[in-house]
Amino acid sequence: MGEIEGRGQRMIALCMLGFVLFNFPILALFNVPRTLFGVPLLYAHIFLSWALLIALMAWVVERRR
Amino acid sequence: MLQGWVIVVTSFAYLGLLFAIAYYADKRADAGRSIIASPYVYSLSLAVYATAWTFYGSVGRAASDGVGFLPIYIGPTLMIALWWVVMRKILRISKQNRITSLADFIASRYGKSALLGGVVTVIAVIGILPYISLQLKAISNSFTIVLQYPWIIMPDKVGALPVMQDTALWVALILAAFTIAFGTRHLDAAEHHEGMVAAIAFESLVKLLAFLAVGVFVTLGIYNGFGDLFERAAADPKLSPMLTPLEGVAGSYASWVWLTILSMMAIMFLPRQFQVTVIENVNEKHLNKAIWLFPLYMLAINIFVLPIAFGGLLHFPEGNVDADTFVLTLPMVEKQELLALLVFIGGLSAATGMVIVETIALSTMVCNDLVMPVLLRLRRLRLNQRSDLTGLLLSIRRGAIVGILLLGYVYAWKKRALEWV
Repeated sequence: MGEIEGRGQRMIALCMLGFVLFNFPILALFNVPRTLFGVPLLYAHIFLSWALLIALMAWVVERRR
Repeated sequence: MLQGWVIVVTSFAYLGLLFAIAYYADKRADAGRSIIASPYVYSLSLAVYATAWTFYGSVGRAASDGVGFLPIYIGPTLMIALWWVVMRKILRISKQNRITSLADFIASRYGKSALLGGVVTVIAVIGILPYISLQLKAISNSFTIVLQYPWIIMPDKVGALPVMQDTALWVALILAAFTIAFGTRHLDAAEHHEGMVAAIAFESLVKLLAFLAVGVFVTLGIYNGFGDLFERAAADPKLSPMLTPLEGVAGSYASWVWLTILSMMAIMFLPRQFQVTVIENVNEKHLNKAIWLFPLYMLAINIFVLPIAFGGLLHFPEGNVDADTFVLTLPMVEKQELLALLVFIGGLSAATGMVIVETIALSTMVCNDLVMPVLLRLRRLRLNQRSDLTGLLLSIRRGAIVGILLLGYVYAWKKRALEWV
């Protein structure tokens, strides 16, 4: 049971992490006219953070004990 | 190869294929060897979230405000992180109480209140109608645009058509027939429509592949990769504000966050999402894969939105081509007929998937939470003395499906009539 609750808490933490990554002031840091490998910094930030979040969600849900 | 008959034949062949998939899945379900008992099919069916509005509209929106469309997909990702806690509970409650729709679920939380169920149904139908009408319009507009090949002419420049040649009406009627065949072939006590789920999962694959194909073509075929495209956009004074759009063309940070929160609600409470996520769920364990596969799907279908939007703006700088049509018009102007046909079919699958699931969900609500409670109360009908109501229930649902789709058409038509005035 503790294991199940632990996963739930980790998922809630990931949701909160998402709110931080996709919100002011983090977004403002990247809302500048610079690029990362040719991709505007804001777009790179959004898609990389999004991919990271999904990877972490997969890791929490699919991990074997 | 973009003659009218090729497009019509391809469309019907595609719809026929969908029906064959649904038929096969239903047969397998009857034989007890379900093909939808897979977390992958379940995850793909959730992607009915991506409608024609995603397929054509995201690029349109991105062409005016850069990242403004992204909260519509980021919000659901954040909500889905909570699914492991929230959705498992909803699934269990719904299975225990034999919940048949969103209205039913909400009503059951308040002591099976028939009034509340009815109110939710009415709100859902009224709220969703414009959304359905948008899908009908997307199909008929994309059809009109493809027909003009090799010219690029916007549908509003083609001129008014008499009602009998109005594709939106035909689309509405064909989809009504289709939804009736999918959703009301027989009455299932658990409201499972295995055939429909299989067809919708297939549609999700088609629209994703079609969109990725255009994205790759625009990014690597017309331009030399992301870097080249973004570099040209940065050099264009009209496009460069979109590279740092927040507190600018995309609105404030606050509006971004509000759209995120709104989209978190959408993924929970859109009738079609409730239908595929909760009602059609056959195994709670499928949720585990869906929690990361469905967000991954949304990420994938969004990667090329901005490149296509910038590509379209650079390609049609005069602004005479509607940005909502870039997905289709860019392959057309580059003479990629096969790709344009694939895009048309992709848009068709995005729109039909939404319309089919949404009308099935709404018709179940109209039948179970609006019409039947009233009919059962009318003593004169003596419905409670009848032993088998299957025929009546199916007829009500079929009527509701036709009614909802025709209302969707009328909504689109009335709006267009107003535009002409």
